[in-house]
Order: sequence, then structure tokens, then C-alpha cells
Amino acid sequence: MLTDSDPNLAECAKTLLIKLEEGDSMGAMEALEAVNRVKDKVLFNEVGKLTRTLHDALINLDVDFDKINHEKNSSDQILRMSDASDRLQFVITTTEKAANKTMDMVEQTIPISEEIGETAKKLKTEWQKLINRELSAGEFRSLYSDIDSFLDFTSTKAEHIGMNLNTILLAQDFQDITGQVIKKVMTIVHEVETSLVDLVKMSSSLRFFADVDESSIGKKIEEQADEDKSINNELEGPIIDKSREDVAQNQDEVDDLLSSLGF
Amino acid sequence: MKILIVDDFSTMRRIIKNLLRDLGFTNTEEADDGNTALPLLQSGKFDFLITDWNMPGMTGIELLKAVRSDDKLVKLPILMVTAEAKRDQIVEAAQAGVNGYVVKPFTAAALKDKIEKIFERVEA
Repeated sequence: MLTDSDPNLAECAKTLLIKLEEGDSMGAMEALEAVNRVKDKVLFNEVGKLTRTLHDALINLDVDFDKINHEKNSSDQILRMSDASDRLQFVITTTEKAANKTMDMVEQTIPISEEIGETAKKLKTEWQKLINRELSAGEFRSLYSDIDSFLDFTSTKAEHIGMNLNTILLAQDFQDITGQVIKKVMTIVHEVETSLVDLVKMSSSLRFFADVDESSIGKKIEEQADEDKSINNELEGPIIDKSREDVAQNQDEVDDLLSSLGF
Repeated sequence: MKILIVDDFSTMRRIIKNLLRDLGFTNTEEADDGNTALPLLQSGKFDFLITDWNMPGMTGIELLKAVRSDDKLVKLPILMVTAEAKRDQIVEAAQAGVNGYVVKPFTAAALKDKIEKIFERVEA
């Protein structure tokens, strides 16, 4: 940040005054140039610092590798990542993989449970006949062996269903690893924001050197943001802010709105 | 009953496909945006369209408008399943001629309810 006690600046100002008093306009111009150079240098330093902060943040964006023990190649994958967007891409692929794995298991399990249900229903019909004493000796023998094989079938399938459910359970471990990645990216975004705000503040504190009034920069940015908000009719995707009144918060509100339109 | 599911995320298409199968609709096809969906609709004799809104290429609302301006497809029932929940957008979709609007995240029951209502109205 620029301070009044900046020795270069004080030196430049003195030179400027002397040159002006001496009536040396060329010299005064040079001194003025020097003042400008000091201003530029401060700005450049700040931009440099900002760049360094960003760079460090990106380099330090490491994930706790010990927590990933389920797949060896996924940690290799992480090591190869070099920037935030790669990491966010990793979140997308990881969650997609988990979703697909879960759905594989569901698609595999549904027919099994359907088969068990249908077989049980058929057996129940025969069993009811037995209760009602309507079963012939031949039918009884076949029911006898059908029940035996159904019991075997059920216990094998129950094991299979249990395995599938376990796979679904384990597929949820993406939450841990993707949560870490997202938190790190959030930290970076926050750091960048803070640095940019500092930069804006600093450049407006330099306004007395500039030929344009920069004091309103911060204000201008705010105004711009408001303007963006009002004209922004772009697709926003999921909206997290529960207090917004221009958004339907749930399906009931959507239904109410549609029925008010005559749906 | 032949249904086209349009969403840019394959997992979402798969979820909808599974829910539809659970509701007894097994004849489904998929497309990942309006540009791939429209030719399918024009040639594929679909009875129902389920589409997302926010997709690269041709969005769901553009697809909706394209379908409504196509003489052969003008009466195709359309259900929008989307994360876009702004009131203005819901109104825009309604004005463009959508038959139902489900916001993500949604439940199987909500999807079932909306599909059944659309069919009731279409048949009435």
C-alpha cells in the first residue's frame, strides 16, 4: 500500500517543487514523470503480489492423499492435476462414476427382487391349495421340491443383494474426497477475491496522481454488479439462496404458479 | 408409449429412465440436447418428451418452442425437468406451451404425479 512517507515519492515531490520554482518546465515535467513511475511501480508490485498469491494457492492445492485408499490410480490422477479447473473436473468425473456405479447396482438388484417376489407369489398359490387340502399327491411332491429350491434361491440371492447394497454404500465415499477438493477451490476463490478488493482499494487511493478520478471505482463496480443482476436473465442452474423471492423454492410453489396461470 | 428423454447429463437421463421403467414405461430413447433431440422427434414417432432446460447447443426452452412450431409435433406432450426455478422462467415455459414442470431435485412421486396428470389432460 502506498504511504505518505514513501521516500522516493517525497524526493520526487521536492524535485518537482524546486524545478517549478526555478522555472525549469522541462525539469518539472521529468519530475512529474518520476512521480508517475512511483505510482506505476506500486501498482505493479501489488499485481505481482496478487499473482504470486494466486500461483502459490494453486500450487498448494493438495488433497489429503491418505484418505483415498479405495483406488490406487485415483491418487495418481490427483498428483497429475495442476490447477483448480482440473480439480473441479475431477469432482465431476468422480461423482459421475459414483452415480453410475450406484445405478449399475440398482439395475442389477431390481430384477433379483422382482424374481424373488414373483416366485414367492407362485408358491403362495400352491401353498394356499395345500392349506385348503386341495393338493394332489403329485402336486404336493412338486411343491415340496419347489419350496426347497426357492429357499436355496432366496438365500443365494439375498447374499447377492447384500453385496450390491454394500457396493452402493462404498460408492458414496466420493463425498469425502470431492468435499476436500471443493473446499480448497473455495479457499482459492476467496483469496483471489480479497486480493482483487485490495487492488481496487489501492488503485483508488492513488487517485490524486491520476488525471481521472478513480475514487468511484469501488462504487462503479457495485453499480455494475447491480446492473448485471437486473439485466441477468441467464440460466442460473440450481439456486441455493432460499431467501430469493423471484425463485420457486420447491415443487409446490411451481405447481401453485402454474395453476395460477391456468394449468 | 415411446418417450424421449433429453438431458446433457447421462446420469440424470439414466435416473429418469429408471423411474419411467418403474412406472411401466420401458420404451425410451435418449438425447443430450435439443439439436440431437429434434431430428429424433421429427422421425421417431414419440408420444412424450421429457427435457431439461439448461443444455449446451440447443436448450430445452428452444426445443420446446421448436416442437410447438412444428406442425407434426405441435401436440406432443412435454414435461420439463430442470433445476431452473425462477418464476419468470416457469412462466416463460408455460407460455411456450409446456405441459408440466418439475424442478430438480425431484422425487419419483413428483415425476409420476406430473406424468399421470399430463396423460389425464391429453386423454380428456
